[in-house]
Amino acid sequence: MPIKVNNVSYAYQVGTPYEKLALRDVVLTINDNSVVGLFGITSSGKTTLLQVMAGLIVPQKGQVLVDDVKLIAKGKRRKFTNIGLVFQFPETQFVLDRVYDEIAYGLTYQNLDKFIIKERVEKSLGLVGLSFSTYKDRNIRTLSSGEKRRVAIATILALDTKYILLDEPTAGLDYLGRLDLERLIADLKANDKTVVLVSHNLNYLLNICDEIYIIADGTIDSIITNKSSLMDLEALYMANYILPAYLETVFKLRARGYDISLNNKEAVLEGIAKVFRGDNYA
Amino acid sequence: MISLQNVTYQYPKSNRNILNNISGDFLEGEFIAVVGKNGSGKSTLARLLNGLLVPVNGQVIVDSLSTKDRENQIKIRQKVGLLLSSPDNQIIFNLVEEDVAFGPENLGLPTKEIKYRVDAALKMVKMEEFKKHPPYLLSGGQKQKVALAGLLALNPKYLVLDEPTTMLDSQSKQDVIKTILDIKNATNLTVIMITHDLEEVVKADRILILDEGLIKADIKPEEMYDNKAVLSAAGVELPEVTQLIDELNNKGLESLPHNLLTVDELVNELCRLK
Repeated sequence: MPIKVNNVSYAYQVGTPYEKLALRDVVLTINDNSVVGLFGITSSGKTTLLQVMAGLIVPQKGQVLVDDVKLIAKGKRRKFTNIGLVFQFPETQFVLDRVYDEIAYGLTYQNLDKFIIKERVEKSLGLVGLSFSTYKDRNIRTLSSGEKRRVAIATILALDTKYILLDEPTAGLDYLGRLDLERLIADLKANDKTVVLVSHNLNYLLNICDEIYIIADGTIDSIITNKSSLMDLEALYMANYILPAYLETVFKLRARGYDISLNNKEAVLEGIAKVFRGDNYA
Repeated sequence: MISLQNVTYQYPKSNRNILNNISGDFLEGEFIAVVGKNGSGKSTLARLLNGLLVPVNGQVIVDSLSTKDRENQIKIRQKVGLLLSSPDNQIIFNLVEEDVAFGPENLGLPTKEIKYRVDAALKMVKMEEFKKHPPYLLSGGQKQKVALAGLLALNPKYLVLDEPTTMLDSQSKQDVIKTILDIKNATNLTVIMITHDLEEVVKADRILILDEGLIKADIKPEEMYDNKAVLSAAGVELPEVTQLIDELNNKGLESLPHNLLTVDELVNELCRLK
């Protein structure tokens, strides 16, 4: 059963001169076992939407249903939801020193047997690609920033929620870190999880998501799915979004009057080469 | 000129040299990009340049002043401005203009001069209209420009930027980088930028590749393709356009040169072939 966002509106600083409408009548459904991207420029409302889905922000209008149950009842968030949220730069929020203790911390309030806790810590470290025996006793402060990010994500995975929300998980990660994260998200999907991530890197989202919601001015402007054609992306290019280099190249060439097919990446490359490599190419 | 002379740095309680006997010069008016993976020592280098950290061995010399000498510290910090990735960590006041004025106020400048500098700095980053705004209501890119104005108000000679755009979306990113480059071109400022973003790197005069605490290569952006082995060992990916040229060449467009760095350059070159 999915996460349903029904007609949600939210404004910050209501009643002050700085009142700002962040979300306007947003409707969307996050399907189970999918990877969904929320994309938009800074202050488009994407982080607000993520926090509404996690129940951290109570919308002034509308409702969020998780597995058909209202996330907020009588103005209060349900105590145990099936949602785990990883904040932006989560490594700044560590509370304990030892990797094991930090990951187990969220479980200590769930009255779980310590063997189950150990099992969960081991499993979540494995999912983020860190070996249990090497890392469990390490002091978090001595880890590199990439390792810290992974431990931070593991703390949420240990809660074993069905939905995992990630706010800008690639910010500050280097190329290798971004590839690792890509693999982790694929693993989570293979383990029946649903992942929602916010990013301002469309290129990255196009690589990993089943669906991408383009958020502009607090509403859903358009939806790109893995079945969308490159034609749909041309509209985003026209709206000044930054796209992968091969797409920008082909859109610019098309604007100059070259008719190049937009079937898929392979066809685009083939099309460009065909137009420009000259007649004597065999 | 900032000069690194056999600089070695090790964090307290660590047994590993994060930077290992590195040397090099940053000349006036240059734009240098420093790349490398997480943990390669890039941010440590940034903090050594303005004396926030002092080398364990060797010296960092800023215009003939060594950062090791405590008496030089104030002079060096005025010459070398350091901008961090998160503007929220460096903005402290409730109004944009107050925040920008904080630096010059601490220099004990006359009120008139402070006002002049604040206005000039905000104008340089094109944020004049937000002078009376509370910074926390600005977007990430706008906040980063306010933090930048705070540094510019000190009239620095060198600007060290530690991943200044990681928190920003693509549009704000381009805006911040363009602002920095416009200012650099107008004022002969030296810009040293630490970054993971290759679209930013291609705009630099030269690129330092940092890996395992060493400067593995010192190259021009056009030479990135020829150094792809060094870059990949240092965990740095090639710019998208360079990768695209490779893919197109494999499809029979052998003549495309590898020194094209932007989509526009590539499109023009393709159209020239026709």
